[in-house]
Amino acid sequence: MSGTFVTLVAAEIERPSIDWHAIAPELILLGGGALVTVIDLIWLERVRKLIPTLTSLVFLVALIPVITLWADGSGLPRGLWIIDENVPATGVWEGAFVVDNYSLVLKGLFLLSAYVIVLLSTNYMSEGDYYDSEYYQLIAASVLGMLVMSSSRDLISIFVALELVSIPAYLMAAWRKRDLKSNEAGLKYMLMGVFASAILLYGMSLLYGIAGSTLLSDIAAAIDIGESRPVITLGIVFTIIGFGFKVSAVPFHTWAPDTYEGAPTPLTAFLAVASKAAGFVALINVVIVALPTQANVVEPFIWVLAAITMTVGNLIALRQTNLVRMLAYSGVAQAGYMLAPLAVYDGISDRATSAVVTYLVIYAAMNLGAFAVVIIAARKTRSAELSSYGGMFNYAPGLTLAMTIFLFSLAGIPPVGGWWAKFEVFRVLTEGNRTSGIALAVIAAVNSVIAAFYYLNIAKQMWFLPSPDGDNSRIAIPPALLAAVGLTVAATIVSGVLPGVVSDMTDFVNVAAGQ
Amino acid sequence: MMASLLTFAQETPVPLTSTEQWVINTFFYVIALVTVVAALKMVTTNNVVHAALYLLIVLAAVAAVYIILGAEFAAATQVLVYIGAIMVLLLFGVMLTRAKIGSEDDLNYDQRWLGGLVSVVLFAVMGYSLWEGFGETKLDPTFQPQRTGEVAESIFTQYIVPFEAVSVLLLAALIGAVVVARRD
Amino acid sequence: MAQYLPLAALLVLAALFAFLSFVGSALLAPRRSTEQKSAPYECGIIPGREPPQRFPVRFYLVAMLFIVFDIEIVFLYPWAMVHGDVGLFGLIAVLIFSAMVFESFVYLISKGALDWGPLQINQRQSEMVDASRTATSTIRKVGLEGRYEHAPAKTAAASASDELDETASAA
Repeated sequence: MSGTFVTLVAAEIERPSIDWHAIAPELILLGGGALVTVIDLIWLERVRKLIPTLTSLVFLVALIPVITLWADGSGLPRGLWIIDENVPATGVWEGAFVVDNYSLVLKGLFLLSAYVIVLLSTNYMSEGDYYDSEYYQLIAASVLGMLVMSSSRDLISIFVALELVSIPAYLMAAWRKRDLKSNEAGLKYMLMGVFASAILLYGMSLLYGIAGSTLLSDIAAAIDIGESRPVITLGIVFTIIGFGFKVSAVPFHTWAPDTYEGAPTPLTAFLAVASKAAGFVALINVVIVALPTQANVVEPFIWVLAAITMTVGNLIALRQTNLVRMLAYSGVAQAGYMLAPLAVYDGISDRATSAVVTYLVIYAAMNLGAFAVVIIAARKTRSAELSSYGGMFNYAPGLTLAMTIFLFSLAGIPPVGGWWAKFEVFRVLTEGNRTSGIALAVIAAVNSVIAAFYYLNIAKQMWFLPSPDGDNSRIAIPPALLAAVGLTVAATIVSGVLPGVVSDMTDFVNVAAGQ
Repeated sequence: MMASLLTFAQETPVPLTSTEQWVINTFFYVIALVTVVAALKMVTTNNVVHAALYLLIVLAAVAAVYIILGAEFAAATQVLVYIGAIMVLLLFGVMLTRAKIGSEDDLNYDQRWLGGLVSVVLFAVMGYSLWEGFGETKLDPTFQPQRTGEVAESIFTQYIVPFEAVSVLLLAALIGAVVVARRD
Repeated sequence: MAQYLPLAALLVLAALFAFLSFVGSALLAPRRSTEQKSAPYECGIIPGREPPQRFPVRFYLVAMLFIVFDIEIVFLYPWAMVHGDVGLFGLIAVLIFSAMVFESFVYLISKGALDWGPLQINQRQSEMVDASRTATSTIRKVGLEGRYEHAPAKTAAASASDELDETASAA
């Protein structure tokens, strides 16, 4: 018996070795997150104040291999396994996990955003008597999902990564347990998110049923150009609807305002920036890699989504009197601009992708900055009402200036970052001289004007109107929040004045499908 | 037997006899009928606990369909996780909330006719697409059940990254659930 | 298909056994029912009051723990099928997986989520929380709903961010 067993065990699989460098960011985040949890479990209260610092350190350390991989650009794209000619590689080793310029830019974006989010959260969480060490552990888990998402070129990886991004976020939205608003935020987000996941999974199962493989490149190969069958269309539409929920595209945005309002404000920033970007990454991966032949189905659908998303988002944002809700709706509208390049991706998928990624990078800087100012202002005014921002120039001129920069950037006014993001989108829309692209560009232009109205209204409030209660005492800004504002201001200005810095990173060749 | 399990040696495919095909088809129709009836009862019943138990039947029937398709690991997972664990959590949820254990009259949603209409339209669209897309597809007449070893191999090759990600997902879900559910 | 034959035979046997038991019991057992015999049974004592309607939420944590480890077992099983083939690599992969999942169990124990005694407050209070905050928290702990609006005014620095959300909610 034992003899039989030995011969059986000897039949080991020929395994290529792992490319540890390529997977290093994920491994560092996995190990670092687990380590932070263990430290918290052993020393409990004694290390409670250290947990945010440790978590942000983990993010920064994970950034190192991202940078070295970028610097070592010659080897890109690389996969999870080192496959050379001597090892007979079969299909199962390839393509599910790809590290290319595109994924590296996004990993850098996610890690830096997460770092800023931790800076934003530190004072909020420690002063509010919340379960704060668990909060940072969940943030780390969610960010790990985003890193995996950037490299996923496979339906199962994308789905697991999306759930890893979302499930901690559902729970963190309900973090202010004693507030009914926060309970509502968490519950609403979870119910809508789970519903979206079910739809997404059904769409993915149809795509898998057609291709017989979960690899995106195999799906692309299995569908002929322009081939139109109801089941393919249904799979594509359901998949895009699933991602539409995650990026809060109209009409799947209904969870966003209530969740943004009820959740802890730093987490709102996390949802509005990082979580939304992860949804876009998933959408880009599927559309660009798996569906290059299905532009006739994808483009009209995304066109309609983009047009109504930016219009509805802006029109509702106009009527908001609460700044957090306004930023929520403005985020919905911005998602519309980000969707727009994907409505004309046929033939120029690289340019469309780089426009979306440019937008994501600049949007992260300016939106995180805006939320940082909201959090700082709330420490004094204890309110996010628009009227409470009156007279801020008198007692916090620096903060007012920073907020003005972010608002100008969100509105797309040069020379700060936002104009470059919008410019890239318009350039892609008008590139092919296609009617649909130009029509969408016109809609986007009209929307930019509407949006400028409510963004500048906030600025007007801060600069010219008197403070509502006549209280002109200064705001004490904790160092962590000051650092967050400083970082985001710098990023917003640099990306606008020297757009080359961003475009050098985002003008990558393409989204690599696999090896 | 053991050797074939461990090395995944493909047995020589033997086509199913017509009797066997008849048995499989009959099984499928019986299971499909049970699934549909139980699913309908689940949404129409006025008793939350009964709804949960009808859901149990639906889940078990899905596991049976997996067996028919030869996906034994998926079937075992379905029984272990869904029938074993999810059902327990669902019944716990019913106990923990203030839901009435027993029949309730006002359980029906006011707009159920609208919901019914949407479901019918969705069913028509999905049914047509699936019929058009996969209507010609036939079950492999040689019927090779998928070995769990094959599933395992794909977990440790193609899906190793999501596999590890799932462990973080479970950890994060439990930590978050404790924080949210806990009394403090 | 033939490999399912023992399973089918077992299924038939089980059904047959249940059926024959019922038939046998119906045919053979004497029927002398009294009121005491058909009453609900609880340790020989007649139940005096209904059980409490809501169960403590801690049961839910146990159920969650059960699910998490159930899923872990589901993943361990395929590894056990091929542990020889996937070798050291597979062992390490499974160890990482198990360690992460097991960490959740350690978490529960360390944070006292599985303590079933009276509530221990030692962990949540820190010097960061000022006195007025603690008082409001204590009042809320009693579980009176709707107390939020009548909470006493808090000191500015400690609860500024909390206030933001309150006012935001009011809007």
